[in-house]
Amino acid sequence: MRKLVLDIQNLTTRFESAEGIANALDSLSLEIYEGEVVGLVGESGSGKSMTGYSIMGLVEHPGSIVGGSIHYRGQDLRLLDPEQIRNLRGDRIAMIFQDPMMSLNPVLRVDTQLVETLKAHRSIQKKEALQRAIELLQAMGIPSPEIRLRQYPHELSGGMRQRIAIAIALLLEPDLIIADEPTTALDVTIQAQIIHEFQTLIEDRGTSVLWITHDLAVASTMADRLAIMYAGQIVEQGPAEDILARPMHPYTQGLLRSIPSRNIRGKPLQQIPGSAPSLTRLPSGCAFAPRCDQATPLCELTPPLKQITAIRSARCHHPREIDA
Amino acid sequence: MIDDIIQEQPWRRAWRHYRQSRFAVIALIVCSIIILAAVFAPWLAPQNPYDLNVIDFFDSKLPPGSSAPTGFIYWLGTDGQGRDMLSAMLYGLRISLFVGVLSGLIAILIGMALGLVAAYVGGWIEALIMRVVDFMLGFPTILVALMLLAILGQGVDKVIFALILVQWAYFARAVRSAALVERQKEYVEAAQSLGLSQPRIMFGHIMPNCLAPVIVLGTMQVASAISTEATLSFLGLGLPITEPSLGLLISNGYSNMLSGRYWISLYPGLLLLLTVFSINVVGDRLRDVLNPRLSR
Repeated sequence: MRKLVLDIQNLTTRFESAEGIANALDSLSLEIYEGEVVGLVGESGSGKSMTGYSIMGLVEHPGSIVGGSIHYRGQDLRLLDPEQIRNLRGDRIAMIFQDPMMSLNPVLRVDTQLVETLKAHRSIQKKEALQRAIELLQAMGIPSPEIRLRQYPHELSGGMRQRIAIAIALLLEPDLIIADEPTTALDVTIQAQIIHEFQTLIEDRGTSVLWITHDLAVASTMADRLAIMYAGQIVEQGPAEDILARPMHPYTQGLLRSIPSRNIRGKPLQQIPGSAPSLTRLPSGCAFAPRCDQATPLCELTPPLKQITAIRSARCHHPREIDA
Repeated sequence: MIDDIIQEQPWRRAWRHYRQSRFAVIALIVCSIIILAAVFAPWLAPQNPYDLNVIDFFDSKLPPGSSAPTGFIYWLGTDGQGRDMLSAMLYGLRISLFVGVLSGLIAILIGMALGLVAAYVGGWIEALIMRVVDFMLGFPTILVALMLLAILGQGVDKVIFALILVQWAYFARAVRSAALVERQKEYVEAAQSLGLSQPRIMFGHIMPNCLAPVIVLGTMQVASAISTEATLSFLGLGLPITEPSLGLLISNGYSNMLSGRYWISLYPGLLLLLTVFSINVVGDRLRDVLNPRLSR
């Protein structure tokens, strides 16, 4: 039996603004096991980044977590005091952000940022810390890391910067890495290189990863399991190959149809009609119903999460198996 | 790819931008000469104006270019006590700059710490700090300094204390507004996600990103502190007569102005003007160079 690393149950993160109350996360449940890569896929605004922020305890005013639990190896993160949270962050649970130009401090040298992360969690000599940093940068495919360490972020290319941001996240060998669209801002070739290097490193260490992305293609190369998000909820969950081969939720089916592919060459690319709903004005019942081509009057009622097989679930009144 | 090109260091880029203004470069050179002259005054001055053995009272109020019976030439004349004006001015400049720079630096440290705490912690602590800042800025600088010195009495330490008190609020306000912008940036979230401590994020990550406005304001404030000190000394509430700053030298000669002995006030006045003016030009240029919206 594999061990649970992260167990999220009924997590609700709410934003209150002048326009009303928006549940960025609406009783979201997700489990991540040891050594597992879970791909969290959704459109922008679906709440996938907010899931990452909620786990890290980085939700800021006017947002707050109003319900549910986040257990990391049996500890409820919501009940920990700030000092305990601080000790977990960076050390046991690390995060990689989308834009490395923004997530690295522009006025601090690369070595400063690496060494201070190590020093925040371990009593370690600077020389030893630098040695570890150099080894890790090498493993991330950075040539002559000694030179890179003495540079500032703006002196490095986008791919180089993201490699360094990933190295900082991996530095303390965390159990869980939350990767918030880490390759979205990069060229496809560099994206492929970085994914490859990252995969090798996490497989060696048995690290669990929550890979947040809007790109099903990237998610399917990375993830063991996929969770599809729509309007703050997970609408479909299951092993990656199963979902790609036989999507059950109409939204997942729509996402798959909208990926350009050789098989449908020459035909117009299908798309999901309409756009993601505003979280303050969600339709009653199924949030996807207004855009769904399979909706029936039943969809005006909130769909339950149906456990379809032992490993697959979908939040839909009419889950169907079709061939993608 | 554009960002593969290795870019130059931020400070080198700032200097490249700075030197495009010839006027500002001249101001910087003047500024440097003034600072060097102040630092090395004891070695540069032809006479030690504090050493009563070398001052001859019978040489008092001599016009520029006169020579003493000993053959010593007073290039800028002498003051009412028979001191060589050039020497007295160099020593006075030393004291003026010392008071201005030291009070400015301490005010920067205090203002920066309070501004950062206000921006980062927020809530009632921010409200408290910023209301005190508003209160301080509500009074005219010179009025606060005058009242303080009237209570505390004369002395270099007291003048520095008064100048810190009237200056820190400017830095607190500037740093807070810069830090409010910086703390929204993703690198702060990234630093939090790495488990760094709050003081570390505040002073190690946010503070270095707020330095540009502090440098600009700091330069301007040093100039303003020097002239405030001169005003206080001129009014007789600043430095004691034993440590004459430029302001005090001007004040000493003031009563002789109408009798035609203009040099006792005029030369220290010109030096003060040149000092404050050149520092302000440098500060103004720094504002252009370090302003991220104008740099390109």
